[in-house]
Amino acid sequence: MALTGRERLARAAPMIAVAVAACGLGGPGGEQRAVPSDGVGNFGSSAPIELCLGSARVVSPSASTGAGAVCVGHDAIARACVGDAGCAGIERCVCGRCIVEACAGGTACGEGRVCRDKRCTTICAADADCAAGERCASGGCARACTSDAACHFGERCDDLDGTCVTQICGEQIHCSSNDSCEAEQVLGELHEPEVATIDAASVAFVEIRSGGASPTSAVYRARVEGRRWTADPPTPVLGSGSGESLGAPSAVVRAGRVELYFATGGAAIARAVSTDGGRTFARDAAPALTALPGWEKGVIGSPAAVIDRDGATLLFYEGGPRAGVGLARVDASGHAVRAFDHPVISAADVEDPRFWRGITEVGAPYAVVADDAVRVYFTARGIEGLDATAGDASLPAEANDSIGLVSTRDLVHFDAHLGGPVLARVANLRAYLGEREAAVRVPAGGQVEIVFVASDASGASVSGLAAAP
Amino acid sequence: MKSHAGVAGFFAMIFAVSGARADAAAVFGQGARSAGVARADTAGGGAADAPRVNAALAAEPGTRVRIGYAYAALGLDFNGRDLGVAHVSGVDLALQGGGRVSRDVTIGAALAVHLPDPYLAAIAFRPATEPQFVLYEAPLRRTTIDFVAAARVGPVAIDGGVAAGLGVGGAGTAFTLGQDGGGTFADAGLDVALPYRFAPLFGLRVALGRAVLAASVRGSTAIDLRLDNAVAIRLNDNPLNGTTEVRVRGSAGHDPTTIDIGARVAVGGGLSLLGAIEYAVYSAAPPPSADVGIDVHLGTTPGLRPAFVFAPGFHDTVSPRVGAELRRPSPDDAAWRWAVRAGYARVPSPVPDQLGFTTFLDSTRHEVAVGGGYHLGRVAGVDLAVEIAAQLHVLTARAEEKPSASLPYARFESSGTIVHGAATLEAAWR
Repeated sequence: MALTGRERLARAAPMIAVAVAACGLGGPGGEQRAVPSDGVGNFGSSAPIELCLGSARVVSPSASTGAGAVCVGHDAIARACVGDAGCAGIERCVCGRCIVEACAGGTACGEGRVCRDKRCTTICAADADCAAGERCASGGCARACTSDAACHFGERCDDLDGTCVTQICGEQIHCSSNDSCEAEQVLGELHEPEVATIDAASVAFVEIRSGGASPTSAVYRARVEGRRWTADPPTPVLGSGSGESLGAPSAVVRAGRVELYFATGGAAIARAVSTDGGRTFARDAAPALTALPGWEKGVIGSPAAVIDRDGATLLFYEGGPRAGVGLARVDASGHAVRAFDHPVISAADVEDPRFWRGITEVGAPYAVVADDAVRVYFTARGIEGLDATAGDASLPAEANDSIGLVSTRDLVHFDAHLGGPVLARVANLRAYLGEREAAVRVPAGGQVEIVFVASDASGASVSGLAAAP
Repeated sequence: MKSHAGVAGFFAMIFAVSGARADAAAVFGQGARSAGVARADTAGGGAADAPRVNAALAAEPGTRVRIGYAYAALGLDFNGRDLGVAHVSGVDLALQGGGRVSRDVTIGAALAVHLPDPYLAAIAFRPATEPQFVLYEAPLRRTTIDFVAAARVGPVAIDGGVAAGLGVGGAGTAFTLGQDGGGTFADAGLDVALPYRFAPLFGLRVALGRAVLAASVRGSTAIDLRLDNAVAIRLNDNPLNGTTEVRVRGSAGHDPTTIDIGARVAVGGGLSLLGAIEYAVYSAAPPPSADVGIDVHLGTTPGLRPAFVFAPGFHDTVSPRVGAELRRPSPDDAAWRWAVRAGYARVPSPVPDQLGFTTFLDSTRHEVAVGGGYHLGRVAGVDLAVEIAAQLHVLTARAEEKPSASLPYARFESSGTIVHGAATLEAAWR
């Protein structure tokens, strides 16, 4: 094929460049660094956060494998890990050590895995589908063994058929005398995360809601170690034993004291103070703020406390429930006085016919001071996507919870983010997911991090906490 | 009549082609001599500078070949942190030839090529909301080719030429996964074309005794990107058969149309003073970010919004440049031994106040340049000279606050320094 002169030159130019570079004149070719997000959108992709109570991971009921503990030999030693990649075979990294995931059947083990012999394992149809040294038993891969040493942590060697199996345990099911019961899952829904810096360390406070006939909630403190939060202490710092449901913690740290604002069952917001880094709290005798009728409809919660530029404590809160976000100012005694008799963020303030429409609920504020302004992140339920089509039929976009933002420089005028939600995930281009109850950290000049409660679009199925980036 | 038609055809050609292409030479100058006087040499450049300084210089009799290397270290800060804008380096090549066709008439032509080190061209489209130094990122890292032809009649030289460079286009990429009688097949195709774009160059130079007046016009340049990427799935009994097409359209690294008017005055003792005013038409600049469209036609087709970026609304700028050159013992091109140069330019920013989602960064730039040269004389029958130059660019601190704190990067500061160095070796046959 004949080349035109232009084509010849185009082909020759790279060779000229290569020749010049080969002469030692090649210079820098590095790509430019990405600019850290400032928290106004562009948070990046998210990943789950693991909250550990002792050796057990707190798992939402909708994400549970149905079994929470396995029998482990007294002499078995788990391999330490940071992530699943550091574990072998069917083991998973749970709260820092490799262990098989106990299960009670069903499809809870996730894609490509199946529950067999009380633990999640690789799905198979024949031995060839399994790794070397494993055989396919009842549709799940299992290691062949002659002793426990050949098995994963959390398995025992079944002498009858020479494969590794798992025995689950719990309050009703006990292990043999040679084994101990190793907990790896605790059921609970994580809500309203808060991340603060206390004594130069990252500390989280989070509400854990337990299910059952009489659901309760309590506030836990946790050390933040990357994507793993470890409860410290492993018992609630608020709400333990009183029978009262306490949740939605929001912390401000001032002069070595941690002031924790929290919801007390819907009718009030209270404050507790810690002088030991948030491990123990002394609760104020009177609530900081009590719900009123009107737009609050006698229900308040989800406090979001922040120290503004003048050193005063501002308290944003949800009224309704999810009818909007109100603002109060807190005095030195911990008493809050409403700044307005109306919400500072309502559905009408957020509604945008192009980017976020059909807003029905607004709440769960989280406040930070950044760039000399107060930013209030909040959760709103609405539609940010366009309708899809299937053939000639229209598939309306689903309403879902997403994270929005308003900002103010004078605490009087609140400007909504103009582009709709600042965090709204979509799977497979049109499967909308839920994000709510965000906590945001804005380090000076650094990458902003957002932690939120992840759910499906309906909000009924909470999968746990996630963080981005 | 026939020759007039030929000239008209030439100018019609260079007007008809669309604008494209930009480069490092517009910021630093191409070659150490131009860099040493902060590009104030519209009326005082050498013959080999013709493609970049003033096309009319190409009419100088003789033949010149020049090779040079330049490096610029960019320290551009956003909110007090170095944004990591890539440093710029590359080889500069220049070729010029001219001859006398009668006692009063000379004609000539010149070619200049800039080859950045790591790439033929860096095409970078970043999200429009991301802070970016729009004038110093992709624009400085591209290959450029400039060609001019000139004629001089007595003291007046006039010329025309083109600046050429690559765009990116073509049918893009295509991938098909399907099934036929032979089973499942995958078919992929890549069709990326690198079409040339041209921008017109004009120059006028008038010698009036000790003074030289000159003007130069350079068309706008940029890299136009037009890529389509298509994926087709056609599998039996697959409910999600269909196509997905991603279209990317953009114009990277726009360099504006510029109009330069300059003068050079020989004040005696080998000293020349240079001055120039450059008018840059940034108001016609396209968005520095790309438009992206995604069309999905599958079993279920999601509703996706295409992303369009608004025009940046840049301002036109006027940049004064001054310089001085001392050549000893004689300013004559053939008799000088050594030379020293200095220059200064003030380059206003075309970037307007950032009041919305974009955070385009730039500020008024002060440019100080020094340079020197040594004339080696004739070596093996070739007249050789070496030149060096150094520049310091200071981007003044610029602080902005957007009207709403809910806008991205609502409060920010930008500033920076650029240190540039260049060296060239020129061979001349007079």
